Amino acid sequence: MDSDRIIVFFAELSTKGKNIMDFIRLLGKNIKTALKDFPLLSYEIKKDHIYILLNGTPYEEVKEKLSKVPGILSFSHAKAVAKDIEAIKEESLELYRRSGAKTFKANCRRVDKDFPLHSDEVNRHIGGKILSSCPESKVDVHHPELMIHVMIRKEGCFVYGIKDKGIGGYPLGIAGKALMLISGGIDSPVAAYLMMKRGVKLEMVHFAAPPYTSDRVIDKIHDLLHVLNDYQSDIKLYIVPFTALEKKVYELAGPSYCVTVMRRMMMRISCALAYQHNDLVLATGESIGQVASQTLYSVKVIEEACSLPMMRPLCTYDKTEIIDLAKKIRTYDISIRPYEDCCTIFTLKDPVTHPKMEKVEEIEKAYDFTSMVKECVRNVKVEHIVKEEKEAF
Amino acid sequence: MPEIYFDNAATTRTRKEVLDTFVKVSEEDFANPASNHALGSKVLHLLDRARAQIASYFHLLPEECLFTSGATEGNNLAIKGVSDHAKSWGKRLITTKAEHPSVLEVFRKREKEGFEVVYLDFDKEGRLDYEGLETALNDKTSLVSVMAVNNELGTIFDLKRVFEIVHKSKAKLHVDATQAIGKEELSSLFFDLLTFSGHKIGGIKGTGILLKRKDVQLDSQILGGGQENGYRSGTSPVPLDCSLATALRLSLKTLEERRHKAKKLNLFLREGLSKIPEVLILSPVDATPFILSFALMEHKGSIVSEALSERGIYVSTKSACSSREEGYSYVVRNAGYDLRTARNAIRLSFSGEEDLSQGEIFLEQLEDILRTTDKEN
Repeated sequence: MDSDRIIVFFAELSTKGKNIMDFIRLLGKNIKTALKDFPLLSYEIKKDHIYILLNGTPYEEVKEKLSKVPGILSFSHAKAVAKDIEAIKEESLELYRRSGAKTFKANCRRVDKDFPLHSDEVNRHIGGKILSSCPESKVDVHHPELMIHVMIRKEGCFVYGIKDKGIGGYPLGIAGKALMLISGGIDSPVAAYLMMKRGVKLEMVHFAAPPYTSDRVIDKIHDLLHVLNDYQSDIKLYIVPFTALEKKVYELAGPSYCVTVMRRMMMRISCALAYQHNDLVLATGESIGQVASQTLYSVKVIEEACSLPMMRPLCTYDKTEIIDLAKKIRTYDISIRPYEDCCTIFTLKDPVTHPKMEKVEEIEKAYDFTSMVKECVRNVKVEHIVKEEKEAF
Repeated sequence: MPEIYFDNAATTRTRKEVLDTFVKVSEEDFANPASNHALGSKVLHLLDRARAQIASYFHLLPEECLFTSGATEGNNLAIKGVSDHAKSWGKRLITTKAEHPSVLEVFRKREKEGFEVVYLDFDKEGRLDYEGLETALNDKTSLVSVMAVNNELGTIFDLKRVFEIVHKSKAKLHVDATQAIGKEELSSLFFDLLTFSGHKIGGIKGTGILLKRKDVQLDSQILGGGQENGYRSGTSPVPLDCSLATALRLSLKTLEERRHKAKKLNLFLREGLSKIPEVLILSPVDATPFILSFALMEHKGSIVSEALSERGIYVSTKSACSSREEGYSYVVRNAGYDLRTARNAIRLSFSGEEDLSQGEIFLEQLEDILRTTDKEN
């Protein structure tokens, strides 16, 4: 008998026309990477869906990993049954019961013309079986709660219906590469997740200011990236030694303009890294107006120093929405660990909310910041963050 | 002289890989994980990974896994912790008459402290008084404690059924799984809190785990620096905790194979023992294959076990060696056997790495001892 399988349904790929096979192949590759701990699985990559043959692997374990692969709309556990109408009826009934749905519709696709019954007849058999076994059941041909699919092929026959949700989006890598600024706070990991979901492969840049910022922040970043490894299995992290530059900025800009000028420096350093490493755009976890540097006035002045497009996936999110998403993707508890990042080390009484471009230019002209920026880029530490071995001991 | 160790329920040989982990971590990463410096950070990371590894086997979050010094400490923390926290409303507690002293003694003390404790009966076939549990549960019950596998008879309680009953109320279910881990499938364990010891699964003595689901409220019993999320203070013994992760990994990895061998040996011994007229097999038929308990009707348990020990065969008995003490197994008695049986029960317990030849030698030697030793009058 054919193996139980998972049928994977794509998100949004139907709009892509002739690039569709590239998309599907990339999705297939990403799925295989995500499921590499399951050696028994085998794959069939088709035009309209991908089959994952379980070959004995428990569905629940695969489901957990598959639900985090970007580009998947939904997937179903398809049970292989004997090519026999009684077996098909039994499994359909079992599926109906498991789904908890009330209304249903049977939809048989008979590809194997040697099977004695027509699709319509199969549908009627299934309908009859369920209606007679479950008094509350009802057929709804327009909007059934459960659509019972039966696929009868030469190689075998399987029944499926319950769709498990994927995260949607595009296969990781299809959209290109971007460089995300990550601080260890609540926002940037959520922004990273949203970018990855949309198919963007990310590299991360983090600004460290030892000894004012501790090693524990770096540990936090590592832990956050390990969570994001579920979506992108290999994440490059650039750690920028920012202490000297930040101190100089504070000395010359004072508490009011320190953050504005500092963030402009971060833009320059990030753009330099992006050019070096072929990242197409920058990204941050900023949303409009939360802190002084995030008002539209500040955004205008800060982004003036940035020579690449800047993506802000969270720009319209409320803090509560961001927190909810952070909890959902399990980064929240890590993010709230109380270690200072470089943005919070100098206590700033009234950071400016409407910075003036002239004032900023005056500050930046007062010192050779260009050399300091180059120095930071030169001394960047590069790390590769991959999923840790589950069994360390 | 053969060395046949049939006392694995008391403790197991420490695995070499477990000791290797302990030594390696002790030598290379000796810093205190609470220290702020880079060395401390590194050790904290190791501790986190050990914790995450153990939690993952039970499909729990790392924060739901607490390191302890063993099941006794875990049992004390679970029982006192839950009932202390709930004492304003939940003064009724329920447990069984089959529990280990590290559970029963805690409940007895609770009674002296003003709690009401119901002790459920169980029978020779291993059935727990499930109806009694339903009756005893009320809206003042805060905790029910039922062991997964009994250490003396090997009886397996139906935790799924217990869990379903308990969860009709506000009470939480604590499971002492000391004799279940490494013997039964983890999927058979249904619980809100669960304890086990490292030294029963090839780990180092002085290690253990308390699993606590995150919705369970617990008052810590050992106070201090706030380690283990505040639930159990004391500098984390990271080398020991990491070694426990190794012990659990290996125990689970070898479970199927060991179970298979233990079943074979158990069946072989049951057959052989049932041919000896004075032997009464006490372990129920569906007990865990790793524990086999029987009683001698005509000889004294302590003398026979002493004689076996002289011949290099190590078993366990509650029968006392001296005529001044009257040792007997309260578990055997509570199961419904008479006092004489409870006084002369002998327990064989396996690791699953034994072969049948050891069983053959045991039976030969036992028969010889019974033949040549004076009967008890």
